[in-house]
Amino acid sequence: MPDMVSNRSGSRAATSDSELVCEAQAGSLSSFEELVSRYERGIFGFLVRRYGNVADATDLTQSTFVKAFRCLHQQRSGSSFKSWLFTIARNLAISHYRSVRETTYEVPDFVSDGMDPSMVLDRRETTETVWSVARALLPEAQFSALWLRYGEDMSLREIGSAMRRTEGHVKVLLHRGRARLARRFRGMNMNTGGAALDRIEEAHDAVCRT
Amino acid sequence: MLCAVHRRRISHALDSDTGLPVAVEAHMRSCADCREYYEAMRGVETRLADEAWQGLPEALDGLHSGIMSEVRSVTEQDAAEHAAVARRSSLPLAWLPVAVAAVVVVVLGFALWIREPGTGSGGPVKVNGSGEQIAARVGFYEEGVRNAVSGAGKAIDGPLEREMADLGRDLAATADFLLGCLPGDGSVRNDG
Repeated sequence: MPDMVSNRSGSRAATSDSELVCEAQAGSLSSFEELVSRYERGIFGFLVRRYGNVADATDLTQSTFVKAFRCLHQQRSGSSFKSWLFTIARNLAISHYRSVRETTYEVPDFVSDGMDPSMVLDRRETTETVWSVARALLPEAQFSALWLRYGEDMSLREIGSAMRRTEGHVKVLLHRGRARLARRFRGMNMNTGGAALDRIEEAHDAVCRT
Repeated sequence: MLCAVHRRRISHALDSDTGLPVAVEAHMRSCADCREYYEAMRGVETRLADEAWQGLPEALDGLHSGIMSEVRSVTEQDAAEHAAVARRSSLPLAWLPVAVAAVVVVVLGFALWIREPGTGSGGPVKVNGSGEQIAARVGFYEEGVRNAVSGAGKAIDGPLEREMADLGRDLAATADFLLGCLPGDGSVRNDG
């Protein structure tokens, strides 16, 4: 994540997350504020990308940090604070949208509006990002795995920790997400795999089962 | 089937940031589908990384202050709840010395009534013995109070123990005062 650390408390930039967590557990509010500064943008970005609603993302980001503050005593030394934070954010968002049962994002219907195909292609290229397509197309777990991998640059182990999955399961989620996106972008300016991609998921599943 | 195996290895190589295995590269030289698949996956991966933070709304200033405001209010709420719990738990202890003193007084009074019964209701209570004997008896009861107080004090905290010691001293002073009020013949008038 670029420019993740803000300059609010630059003197503490060298302090590790686990040290800050220990200090915050001992009652230091400034240490917790430093942790907020480090990860607020990441959590907010993840929630906006996943659900496309800035107001909800803001509320859920606040709720994430408040819950993290309340449950800080549960954070064990040695475990990743960042992974734990994303676990909280993801669970809160899932609960929230399960209760609300709605998302504000709708997949644009570029084909059925009777436009010229070249205009359709232009419009796709200008309005669609790979992440907006991923949000509309992928299941929550595949999207989250892709975001943690490419948005947050987390390792497979960290992603597994954040999503409570094994590394093998994370690999499957990443692979399926990428394959679906590649298939979705077939015909655009990306050179995707053609007929090979139609069979790849089944083949991958078969290999994973063995 | 061989293609599926190589694609699995391609996917593994992408996830582990390692280069492609030599066998996969050799296979791709002769397999256009797998070559195409690899390029497609690389393309998606590049776009996912490049576009991750593009076009995201910036709401960070308000967000940070909002989070910290919530956290501070949580801290204050927790402190208020802790104080309320402490108040609730300390309330019975505040009444404990008074309750213990009341029990001691009742027990003492009952013991006195048992050991020195009166001659009749409303009549004068006859206390046998001289003033020195009565003083010795009061000293005995005073010792009993002290024992009760020290016994109760062991079960409670330091401040309460001090309170009970003060109460013991008050009782002793009261006993001295009552001794001073005794008439010379050792009889006590029961006005009740």
